Amino acid sequence: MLTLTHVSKNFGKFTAVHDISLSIPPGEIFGFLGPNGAGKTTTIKLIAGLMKPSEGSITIDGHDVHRDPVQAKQRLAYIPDEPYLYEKMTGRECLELIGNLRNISTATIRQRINQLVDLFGIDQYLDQYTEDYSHGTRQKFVFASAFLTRPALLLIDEPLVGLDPQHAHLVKTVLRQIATDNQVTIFMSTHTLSVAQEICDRIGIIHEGKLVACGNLQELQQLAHDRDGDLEELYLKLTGNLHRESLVW
Amino acid sequence: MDRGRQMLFVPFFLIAVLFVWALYFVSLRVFGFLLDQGQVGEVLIRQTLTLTLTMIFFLTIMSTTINAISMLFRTRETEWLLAQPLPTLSIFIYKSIEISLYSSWIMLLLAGPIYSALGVVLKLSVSAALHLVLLLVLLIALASVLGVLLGLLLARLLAVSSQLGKFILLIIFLVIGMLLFMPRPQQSGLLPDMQSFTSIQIFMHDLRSSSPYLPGSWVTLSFYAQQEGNPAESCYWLLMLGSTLLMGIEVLLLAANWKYREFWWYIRSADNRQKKHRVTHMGRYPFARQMFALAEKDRKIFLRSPSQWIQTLMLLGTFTFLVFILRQVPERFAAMEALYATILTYISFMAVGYFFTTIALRFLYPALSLEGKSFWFLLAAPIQRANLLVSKLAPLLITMLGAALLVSRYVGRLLNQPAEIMQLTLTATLAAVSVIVMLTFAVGTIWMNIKENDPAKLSSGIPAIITTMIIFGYLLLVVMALAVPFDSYFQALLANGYYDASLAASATSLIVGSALAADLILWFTCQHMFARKDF
Repeated sequence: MLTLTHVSKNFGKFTAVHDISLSIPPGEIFGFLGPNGAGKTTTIKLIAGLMKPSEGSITIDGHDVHRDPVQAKQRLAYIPDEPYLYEKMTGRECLELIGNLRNISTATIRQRINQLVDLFGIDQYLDQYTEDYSHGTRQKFVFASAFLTRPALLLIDEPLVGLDPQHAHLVKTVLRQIATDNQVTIFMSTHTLSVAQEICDRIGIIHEGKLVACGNLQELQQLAHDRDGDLEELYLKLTGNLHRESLVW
Repeated sequence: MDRGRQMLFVPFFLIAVLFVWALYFVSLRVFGFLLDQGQVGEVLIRQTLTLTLTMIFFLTIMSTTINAISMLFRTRETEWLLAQPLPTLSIFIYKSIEISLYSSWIMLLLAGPIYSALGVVLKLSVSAALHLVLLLVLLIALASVLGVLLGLLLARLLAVSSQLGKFILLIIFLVIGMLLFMPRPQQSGLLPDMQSFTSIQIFMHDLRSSSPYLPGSWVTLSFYAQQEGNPAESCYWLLMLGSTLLMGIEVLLLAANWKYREFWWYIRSADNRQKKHRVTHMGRYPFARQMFALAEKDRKIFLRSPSQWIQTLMLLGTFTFLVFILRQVPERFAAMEALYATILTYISFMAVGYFFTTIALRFLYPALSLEGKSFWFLLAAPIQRANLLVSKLAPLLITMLGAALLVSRYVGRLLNQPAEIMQLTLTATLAAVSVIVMLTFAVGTIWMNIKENDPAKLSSGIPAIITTMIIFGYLLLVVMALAVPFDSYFQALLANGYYDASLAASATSLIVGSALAADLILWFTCQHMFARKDF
């Protein structure tokens, strides 16, 4: 479903993403881990077509994101790390706009909105301007906008930031369900290692722009020569410990 | 800044420098020419000075008011500052200085070359030049203080009800309509005997280009009193300006100390009070759904944004003022005297050009930047980036060209322009407005700033200012192209001679052809840069 071939991204002399190659089949949840500034968000933006790779290519279902963007984007939905919505539009209008941009029929849009509003418990906010929403409510609307389009590939940058425990649980359950039942491919970056361990089929660890490890938990344990280590220990081994873990007060 | 933008910035900056130099050079030639005409020229220079100073005064007030409403009450930075342990008055003073600088530096940049040229032509001594600079700084400071004060009051007034803005807009439309259909004042007896040099001189001297109650006149009065060796009178007008400024600052600080925080709370809570949670849907479109949906989104966001409303109100107010001024022009000016008719046609063309430049800078330039951090919504959707640009540009371009058509026809009618001249001016205006639209849109796209959500601040940035200069330079070129057929027409009219219509055809071809070429180049550059842009 999603293929990255020798993808690099340079900003002047700085290389944010260095020669990443990946292939993710339909129905897989791929977790993308790495420290701050490692290149996770840049990679996701490259896949979403918000940035252009300096080298390499990215295809979604055989369509190159940058040469054939309309066909590629028809298959994807993107959830950014910061859930910005148009402040002077209501949640309903934002969702209908997303539907219109994907040429979904009006009847289907309205039926799906009712379903999603019910799922996330956001019906009381639907006709308010989004500028009045809390971070968590905006995050729920962004999830709703992504699910509305029924994508084959879901790109999520930090899925659970701002969500309360109930909705974090809901999101995890729904992601697992659509991946298993509907063969939706999910590519998500996260700092929450427990989430990655809990729902991801495979995990990639990116460090200083390079994909330093990729595989399921067992494969990562082998790579780190640590058979019993949990994901946190493996992650710290692969990305390096912090220099100091105390603060002089 | 990416490489493409860096590469574009150098020629862009050079054009700006060239513009400043050209403005200085043209002003030098014009003032020099006028001075060579003897006493009529001196009077004309004095009238021009008063007129431009009055214009600068009012434009600075307008620009400061728009910026004050948005920067004092709407920006996140102010919200953050007010949450800090700082005295409210200090925050207000800091913001007011920032607003004043934002709003007035374009005026200083434009006025700089013109008044430098004037100083050179009049062979001013260093002390006289410093005197003029001091007067100009005081004038702009006074305009800024009044603009901030007006912004403070207007923001509070508009927060009374969400309907008040619409009501004021309705009144402005009524005033424009009334001016449109009211009979013109009869002033044909005002003109002097054009054969008598003395009567022209007296007439020019008495012609009201400003009011003695306006600070623009005080600058001229103080400056010329010093030039004529009357230091007491010069000091009197300088003190008048200085004391008015001090009084303005005092009133502003009193008002701010007393009411700023209260107003801020009132205005911010007004947003919540006035919200109605009605069920609103996006429209149903049988074809081109993406395009119509994007246009509907832009329309809704525009109509719901108070800062855009306020800008619209101020611009319509300026347009009403322009119409009012043009209505004062005596009919004989436009119909009988070749020289006056030509000058008036140029002035009206430049005024219309300036008006559309302001609109384009306020509304088109920030169009893409104002997508802000929500832009991912569109960029990740299955729509070509070029189509995103078209959906933004097309409604704006059509609206601007439609408005240009109406304004140009109306101004032509007000000035009693002959059909040939009106046709030529109309074509030139449409061509110029298309270039203004494309240039502001292209520069706004290339130098997009999605982190800034204040349209007034975006329109006051360096790329916007340089764009203004380029547009003014371009308008000057169009005026120069129009000069040949205009002169030929009015000379023929004056001498009852033969008018060579082919001159108009050549000028039209030149203006339209170069405008179309410029539009295409700008469109492709903008599209190319936007397609390569990272978000």
